[in-house]
Amino acid sequence: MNSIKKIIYNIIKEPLGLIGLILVFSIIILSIGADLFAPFEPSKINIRDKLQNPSILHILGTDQLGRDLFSRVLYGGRIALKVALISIFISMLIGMIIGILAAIGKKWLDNFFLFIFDTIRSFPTIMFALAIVTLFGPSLETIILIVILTQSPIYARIVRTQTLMIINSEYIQAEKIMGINFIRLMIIHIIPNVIGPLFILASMDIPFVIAIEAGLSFLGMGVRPPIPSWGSILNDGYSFIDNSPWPLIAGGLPLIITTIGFTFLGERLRDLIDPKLKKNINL
Amino acid sequence: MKKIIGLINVVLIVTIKNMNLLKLENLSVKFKSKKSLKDLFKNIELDAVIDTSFTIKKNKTFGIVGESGSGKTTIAKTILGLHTSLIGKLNFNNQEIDLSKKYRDKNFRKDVSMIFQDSAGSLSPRIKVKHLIGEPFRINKINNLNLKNEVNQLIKSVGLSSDFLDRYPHELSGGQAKRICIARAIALKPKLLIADEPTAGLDVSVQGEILNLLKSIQNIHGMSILIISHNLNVIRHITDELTVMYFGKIMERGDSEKIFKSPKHPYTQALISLIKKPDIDRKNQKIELKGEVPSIFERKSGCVFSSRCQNPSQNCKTGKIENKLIKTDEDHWVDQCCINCN
Amino acid sequence: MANILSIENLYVNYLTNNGNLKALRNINFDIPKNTVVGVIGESGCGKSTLVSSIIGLIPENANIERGNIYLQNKSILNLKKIEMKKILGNKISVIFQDPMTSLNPVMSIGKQMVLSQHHEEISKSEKVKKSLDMLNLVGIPDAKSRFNDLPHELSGGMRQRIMIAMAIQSKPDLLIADEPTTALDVTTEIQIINLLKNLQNKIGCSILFITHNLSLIADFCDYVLIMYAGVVLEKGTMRNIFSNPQHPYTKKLFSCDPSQIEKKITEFPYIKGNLPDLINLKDGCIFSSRCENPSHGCSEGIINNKLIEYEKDHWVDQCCINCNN
Repeated sequence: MNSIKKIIYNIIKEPLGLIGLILVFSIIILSIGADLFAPFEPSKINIRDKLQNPSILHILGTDQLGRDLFSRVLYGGRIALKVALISIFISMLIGMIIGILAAIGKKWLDNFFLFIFDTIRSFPTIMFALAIVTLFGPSLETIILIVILTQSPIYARIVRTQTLMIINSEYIQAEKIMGINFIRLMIIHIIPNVIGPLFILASMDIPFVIAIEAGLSFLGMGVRPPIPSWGSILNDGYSFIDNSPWPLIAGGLPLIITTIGFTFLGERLRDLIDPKLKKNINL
Repeated sequence: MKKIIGLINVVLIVTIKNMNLLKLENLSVKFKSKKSLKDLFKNIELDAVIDTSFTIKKNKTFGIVGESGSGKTTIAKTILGLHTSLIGKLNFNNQEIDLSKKYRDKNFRKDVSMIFQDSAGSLSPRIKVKHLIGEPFRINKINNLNLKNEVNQLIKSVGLSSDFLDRYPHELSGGQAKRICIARAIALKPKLLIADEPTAGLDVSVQGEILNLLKSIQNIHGMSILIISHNLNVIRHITDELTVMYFGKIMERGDSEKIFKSPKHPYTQALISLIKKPDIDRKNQKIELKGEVPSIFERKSGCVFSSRCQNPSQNCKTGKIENKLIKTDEDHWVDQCCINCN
Repeated sequence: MANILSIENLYVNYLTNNGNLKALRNINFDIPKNTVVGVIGESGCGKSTLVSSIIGLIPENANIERGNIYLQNKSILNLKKIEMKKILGNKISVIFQDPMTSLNPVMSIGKQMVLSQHHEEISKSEKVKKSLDMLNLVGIPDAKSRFNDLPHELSGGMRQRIMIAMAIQSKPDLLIADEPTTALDVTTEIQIINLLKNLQNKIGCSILFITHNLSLIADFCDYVLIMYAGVVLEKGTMRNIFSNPQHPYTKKLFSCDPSQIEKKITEFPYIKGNLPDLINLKDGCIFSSRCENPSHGCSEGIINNKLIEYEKDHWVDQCCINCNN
């Protein structure tokens, strides 16, 4: 608990970190509490009020079906966060296990995994995503699958490198001399020391993953209507851009804010872990 | 009459066997050369340790003296099972240990523990001190005791207060980290403690405390200590027997006092000349050995010390004499080549 | 007697999150021409801060509160970086403890030696020749064939010799050696010390030699400084200090040195207690918490640390002169 307090204190010391933390925090609160904060039902159609400009009633205006954009954005945040958190969490888990196995296993196992990583990563992400969507059909689950497939190799590589760095260190040797079994070694001594960079990378990847979802939804390959995803809001906005810019803005704004927030936060976290910059930190 | 002699022999052998805790015979450790692809292909092997034998008695302190390239750390790691070897025998506590297998069985691990040169580096960085000291109990699944009490007792026995239990390794000074390592190493009351450069990195004013601690633990628990060090000052005061190693081979071995009083091997003589007390008149001749330890990739036949000896005999220069220990005195063995040379 | 280096009333602090860490306080000493000055001190005594302050490479959060450092009577404390660069590697050279991290691992040693002669305005081939001469001078066998070797292909002793070669090739007035042999084997150590002795005689430079090894000091140094927790507790000629140490810390330090102990002992001497907190520094003598016979003024914190002359060429901290009497 104490160390979490210290970390938070150090994050908000720097202005960028503070901004990042506020933005991320707001996004999470607003999305989770969408039921509380949203003034309207996101799917409530009201053709009479279509494509209205922002007003006191509709903070971001309405879309082509008269649905309140602000409410749609809030509920869209849920989708974004759901996709991001679930897929990145699973990717981290898979990446960690495979990364450690690759590092401590036999050479042929390591080579085999590296081969798989490189093969998957050699596909351009969008092409790969479209191929998967074609195979499995567009849905939230498909997007999660795509993210897991593309991100796990990246995380596995990081974990593999970190593990290789510590595997010959004296404290691991000391544990081996004492006769530690493999599972205990992994869970208590290896994993805590290798997941640091992983967490930071993951937090920087959240906006990227949200962008993948938005992009696919924009192309119509993501979530099906009427589910309010930021990408589908963008898509609608694109079609009706001559009538009103507000749907476009409503779709794009949350993406920008989320990217900025998570990026600032992630960079500040990375600075904290980087030992050379430790002189600014009181840890 | 014959029966009585026979009986006495048996009693003697049994007593000697019981006095010996560890007996190492003709150990040689080789490593695969990874210098170049060519070497890998040819499966070239490098000799880190050659034909080393010594005995460690119960409750006694044994020292291995050597500099870089001597093979002293390799021996310790081979005893513990971090390296394997196909040549040599190891007998510990009257049991034959299979040197060709990596890692050791449960009983061995309880009986033999090690403290490393880099104490802070040998403590897992994200684990609190109290868990680090309790680690041996957890690993060996010893559940039938009050772990908290045991850990408390252990940290007190190394001279630190229980305030230290909630600290992390990076919050400890060099001396404190060393003590924690010692506490962890004696947790299961081992019969043999291997200490790799126990005073390295410690200020002179702190070294004494650590050495006193080791001695007192030895007296209380009845433990043997194997000290690996190049610090002859420490070795002189703390060991009962020692062996001097150079480039993988033993140059001199035996009772510490005898060796310090009259070192026979020129390498030992050089090392001892360097530890005389500060000489303000600058009269004491410190022996400066010319040259360096040879490269492990270019091991030649003949005496390993020949390149640095001040008076090599003709046979030595031509590489005709090989290194072999011969007995010069009760409890004093020296390499044959340098007896001839001197 | 011309002094190469003079340090006057030097106070250096570090600004940390917990407060001001007073790393060096009231440091006063001179390094005369053609002499070797040794500094004995344990961890936390401030010797690294001293070296960094002299060469002008103190970390960002360090602050030189007051005092001055003179190189041949010219102040070098607040020189601009450009001016300092003309001095470093030229008039002042440094060799550090770990030769592995002092040399660029991806550049051949020959190239590094040529590059380190950037002060000289001679042709490249002349620089190469000079480098080879230097390598021979410091005892690298077969220097020509080693010229293109990378640092990791050489042993620790060899690398330290190369460091020395680079440091002395400009014939500096002052060579700072920060624990140059601590990481080396003892048989290599004596080679390096003898090499330094020879070179010092040849070139006539002064050396500031920092170590914790007492017999090296006795063997090599003309003057000695004993540092503890940021102050100098005793200083003087080597003979005076070693034959007649006055300060209790000095005496204890000498008694802890295992080589001093003639007979085999069962219990080693050590110094009880810990270093004082340099952030929340109390008034009074810095050694009072570990002194065995503090005088009344000392335990009350009335007497502060200051060196006074005990005899010719032998200065002791005033607090402990009082305590001893």
